[in-house]
Order: sequence, then structure tokens, then C-alpha cells
Amino acid sequence: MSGNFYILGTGWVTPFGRSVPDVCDKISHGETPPHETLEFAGNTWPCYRVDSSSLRDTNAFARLRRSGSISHFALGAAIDAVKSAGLTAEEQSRLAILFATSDGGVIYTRRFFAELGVRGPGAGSPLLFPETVYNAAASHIAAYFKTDCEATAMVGDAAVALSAISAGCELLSSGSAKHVLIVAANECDAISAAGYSRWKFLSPSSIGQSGNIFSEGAAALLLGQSPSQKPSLEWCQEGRPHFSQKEAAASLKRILINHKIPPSVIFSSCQRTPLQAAEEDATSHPDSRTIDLKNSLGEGLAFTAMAQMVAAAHHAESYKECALVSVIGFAGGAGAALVKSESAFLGASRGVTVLP
Amino acid sequence: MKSGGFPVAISGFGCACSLGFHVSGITDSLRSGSAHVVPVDLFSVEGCQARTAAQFPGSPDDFAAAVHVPAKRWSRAAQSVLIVLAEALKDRRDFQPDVVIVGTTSGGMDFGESFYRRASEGGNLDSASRRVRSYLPQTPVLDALRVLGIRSPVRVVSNACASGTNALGMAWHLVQSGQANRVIAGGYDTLSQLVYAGFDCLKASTPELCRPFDAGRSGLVLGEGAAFFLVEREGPIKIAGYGSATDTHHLTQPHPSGSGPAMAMRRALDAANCEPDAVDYINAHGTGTPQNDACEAAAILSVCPEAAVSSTKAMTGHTLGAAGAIEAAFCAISLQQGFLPPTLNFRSPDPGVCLDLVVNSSRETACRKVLSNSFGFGGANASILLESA
Repeated sequence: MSGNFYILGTGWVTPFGRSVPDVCDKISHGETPPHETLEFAGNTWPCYRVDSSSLRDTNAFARLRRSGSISHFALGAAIDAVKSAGLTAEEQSRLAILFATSDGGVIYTRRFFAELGVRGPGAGSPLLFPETVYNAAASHIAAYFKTDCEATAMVGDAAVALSAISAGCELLSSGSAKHVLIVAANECDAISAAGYSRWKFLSPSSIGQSGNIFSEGAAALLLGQSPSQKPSLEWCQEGRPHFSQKEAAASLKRILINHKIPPSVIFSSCQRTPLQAAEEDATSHPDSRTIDLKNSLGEGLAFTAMAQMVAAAHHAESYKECALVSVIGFAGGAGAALVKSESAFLGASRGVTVLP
Repeated sequence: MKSGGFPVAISGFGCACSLGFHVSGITDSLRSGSAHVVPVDLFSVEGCQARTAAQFPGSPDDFAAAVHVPAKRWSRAAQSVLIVLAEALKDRRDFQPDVVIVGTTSGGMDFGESFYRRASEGGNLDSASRRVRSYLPQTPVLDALRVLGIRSPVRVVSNACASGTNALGMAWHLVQSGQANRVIAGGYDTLSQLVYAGFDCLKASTPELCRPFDAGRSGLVLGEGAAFFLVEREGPIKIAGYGSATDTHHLTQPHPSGSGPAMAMRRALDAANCEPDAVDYINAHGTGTPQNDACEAAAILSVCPEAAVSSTKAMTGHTLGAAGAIEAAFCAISLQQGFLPPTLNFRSPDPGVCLDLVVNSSRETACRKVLSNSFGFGGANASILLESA
């Protein structure tokens, strides 16, 4: 894949709120939001939740009246990304949409299945079931912007955010779309926490132990190819599978070596997890400093991977530097992307590619 | 869409569904018009209005043994993915894809259900959590690829019942534009209680036979299956074009005009520079629900009114995220074998469906261009055009 890809707009819905500069400021100061507690089968997990008062605009969208949190998060981030890009209504109606998630509408899925256990298989709720499909949020976003173009959902570990970006760039370079909106979202539920805790990616019952605090939210990029002073996406390599820490480090190293990266800043993904050493081994560079987003935003899987992209774009634009995003997912994906401002020096090869 | 680009072809494929685990057996069943819809024995359907599904043949234990993997660690979905990928690759052990693109709606849901039950009944959460990994939609594919020695990036598309066609469409984009040389694309889904109960509570499932496009159609029958394709520049079947469109009318109901499906079909034809009257056959989404079939018939009439049409879902059930891939495999079989599979259980024509339907028995005819339609929740519509190389 060749061509220039510009990050024309960004948006996010986080436990810290929706303003990109304000949340980035909090991250840089190492602040953490207040935590709540999830409980399931006698176990508890701390989590960072989105304050519903930050979602007044999505609550006003009639189609989301019965939707789960994830659709509200995704639409909120999408609205902000499109607004910050300044797209016209006509351009919005031709938006292609890629929605990435790790768990989808897991809260409604658990509730629906729990109801079956109590009331029997023949008594499921027709209000809950449609919102359990992974692409529900993508459909709602398409409805909001009145687009009839492709709206596709992709699922995976955190690295699915990079896969969605790669797929978005493919749509742009094939001429299928002029603008692509890429949104990643995740919502907290105790059933997910129960699963993820096993892999030590989530902090168990007390804060400060190994792993991050489970979190929720959404982040969005609006990509286009028209020349712009906005930050550009120099390359994005979607996640390659790994089955061990060693393999994850090797995959990431291969990607970085292929692209001869000189980043000023690395937005890392694995602090406080069993994969931290692998990521550090692959990305360490004497001239780079590492920013740990998850200390402040917690572990939101696809959401936090896309939040790394949003923070990288903000950093590149604000400080005129190259920002590397590295992502090692818990189940098979290790990938990276490089964002730069137009005035930053760059000696790296350009291109968004799936080819090794 | 930029025109031109590299040719895109299918050089091999594998398929499994209620009709069997291999392409040769499935071909025979399609030609003879067989169905394998049975009472559900994988989980309780007590209280559901529907009681049947198009399950894989044989018992679950036979199934696990056939692929030589431990059933406790491998979900039913992972087992079916391994069977089908192995068949697709059987003559191409050297095929190393740049990327693997997979459509599914529910991943290894049977293991997710098992985790929830065990955990909520007070079982050991740590032990139960082992099953969660296999619930994730990418895990069945990663596990199967590992067995087959393939280490490529895996993309999982989950666009409801259009997922399988979306996955093939993504592969078409990549190869056509030269961004990838080799792609494995397809879809899988297996039966689970959650999804079964979901369609039942929406009154989309039928307690009787699935009768696509029939005047007395009353709903769909769920099924399970998988199909995977080796996509590259050369092969006996060409992927000529792909189109997708979103219909935002309602989360679960298509706009009655059929505008979304029609747009996807037109985009696929435009991408292939193909005139509508050149399409010989359409494998319809044809779920057998009153709304889908009326909407799709309107779309087909507005785009390709002369094409022969059938829905194979009365034979295989609706395999959700696998449906697009399985039905593309059926289209490839039609092109190679010179017959059109039938719409089974057809009794009486619907006056609103004025199509050249292939009903109850297959039609022997050579065809050159065939379209496969897939539509899903969320207004996801996708069409793919295949032709003989």
C-alpha cells in the first residue's frame, strides 16, 4: 500500500472525559481517574468507568435509546473525530466506517445469557439480543452520519485497532472511500474481567498489583488522503501472531527494523503486564522516551490501543515529533504504527502494509 | 473505486456444513438436493418455538476425534476451522498467506457459555477462565493456523451474517490493489445456545421447515459450518467484483425497498465492469424470513431480473458469519460443475417474488458469472461476483 494518510480528526470517550488535550495533560501528569468495583461469583476487580454525564449527545440520539454502553462510547468518539476534521454533511454521508472491538457488547451478552439461565432458552429478550452483535455500534455510527458506505466491525485483542487502521488505509488507497472513520471501543464487564485476570493483564482485587486496571471507552481517528497540515500516519503494521513473549518481541522487532524507526516518543501498551519485557526489548531506543497511557486510562484492549493512536497524533501535532505506537495484544497480535507531524524529520520508509 | 488492478482468483477452497466435511460430498448433496436439518441435541432448546438446526453430521465426540484434537481444549468452532483449512490447503502446503481474513459472528461461543455456567454456579473461576481464551473469535483460527504452520496476521470481521462475504471482499481489495499476493479468507460459525435463543426470541426462527421465497415461508433454520479460500492472482475461479453497502433503516430489519442489498449488488457489478444481464445465477441470502426474502427479491428484480436464483439455506441452515463463505463455495462449485443448487421445501410461489427460482431440484446448466448475496443485522449488505477464469 502506498500513499499519504492524514489523521484529519481525533476523538475519544475516556474515564477522564472527552477532551483530547485535557486527557493528554492528565496522562502526562500520571493522574488516575476514580475507580469502581466489578463483582462476579464472589470475585472483585477495580475498574475505570466512563462518566455517563459526558455522553449527553449520544443519549439524545434516538436510535441508541436501548443500546449498550459500547455504542454510546463509540458514537461519542466518532462524533468528536468527525467534528474535529470539519467534514461537511455531504462528506459525512460518504464516510466508510471501521469499528474495532475486543469484547463487543459484552454487558448485554452476559445479561441475555443470564436471563436464559433463569427463564429458560425460550424466554430471551428481543431487546437485548440485537445489541449483542459485534457490529451494532458500527451500524449506529453509520445511521448517525447517514452513510450508506461500508460499515465493518473487526474483533480481536488490542492489536485489532491496528488491523482496522490498515483496513481503513486500504479502502482509501483503493478509492473506495475518500474518508474513513476508524473507531475502537470496549466496555467493562465482570465476566470479561474474570477471563482477562487469568492472564495477569488486569490488576486483581487491589490496585498496585501486577496488571492494569480494567477500563472502558472509545477512541476514533478520521483518516483521509487529501494533503493536510494535520499529522500523518507514516505506516501501520497490523498485528502478527505470537504464542509467547519471545515471539511477541521478535515480531515487534522485525516490524521496527523493517521500518528503520527514529521515534522521539513511544506510546507503549504492556506496562505492568507479563509482556512488558518483550515490548521493552523490541522498542527500546536510546533517543526515545516511553509514555505509558494505561497508568491513567487503564486496560481497555482495543479502546486503549486506539487511544494510543489518538495520543500519538496529539503529541505529533503539539510537539512536532514522531510518535511510535506499539501494541502487543494478549492473544496473538503484535503490531506498531508511526505518526508524525508534517514538519518532523523522518528517515523511515512510508507505507501502510500487510506485506512482511 | 479505482478500476484496473491485478486479477483476483480462488486457487483452492475447503468447506464444511451440515451436508458434510468435504467439498466432494457437499457437491453431491447440492446436486441431489439433500438437507440435514435435525432436532438440536447440542444444548437445551426448551421453550423455544424452533427445535431444529442444520448441525454437522455425526456426534460431537466423533467430530473432535476426526481432527485429532482434544475436545476439552478445542471448541467446536476451532475444530471445524481446522478441518476446512486443512482441506483448502491440502494441495498447497506451500501457501503462506500475507494475511488471513475470517468472518464470524460468535467465535467459540460454546466455550464462552461453558465458562459463564461454571463460574456462575460457583465453580473454580481460575479453572473456568481457561475456556475464555477459546471463546474469543480469533482463537479458533489462530489455533488451527498454528497446527498448520501458518504465522500470518489474522483479521476477524464480525459484520453479522455478511461477515463471510466481507472477508472475501477484503481479500479481493488486497490482492486486486497489489497490497497482498496471497490471502486466506473465509468464515466460520457453530451453533450455540445463546445465538439459537436470540433468533428464536426475535421470532426469526421457524418451528417448521425453512422455505426460502415460498409464499408460506415462516422463518429461518440455523446451521453451522465453515469455508475458506486461497485467494491469489491465478486460479480456476475469478473473483470479479465485490460490493458492500449499509442500510441504516433498523438494526435488525432491512428497508422493505431492498435499497441496501441492491446497492451492494450494483457496486459488485460496477467493480467488475459487468452488465447485470451477464449474471447467470444468484445464490441469494434467502433466509426464509418474510422480510428478508421480500426485500431481497425486490433488490434482485431491480438489478438482475433475468438471473436464475436459489437459496441453499433450506439445505444448510443459516450459518451466520460462515454463510457468505459457504455460499461463495457453492457458487464456485456451480461454476466448476455446471449445475445450480435448488431452493428446497418450496411449495407455492409468492406473487411478490417474480424471480427465476431454481426450486426443489438442481438445474443442470453451464454458468459463467454468479453472484452471492449476504445481508446481516446492522444493515450490513455484501455481494461478491465470481466467474470462471
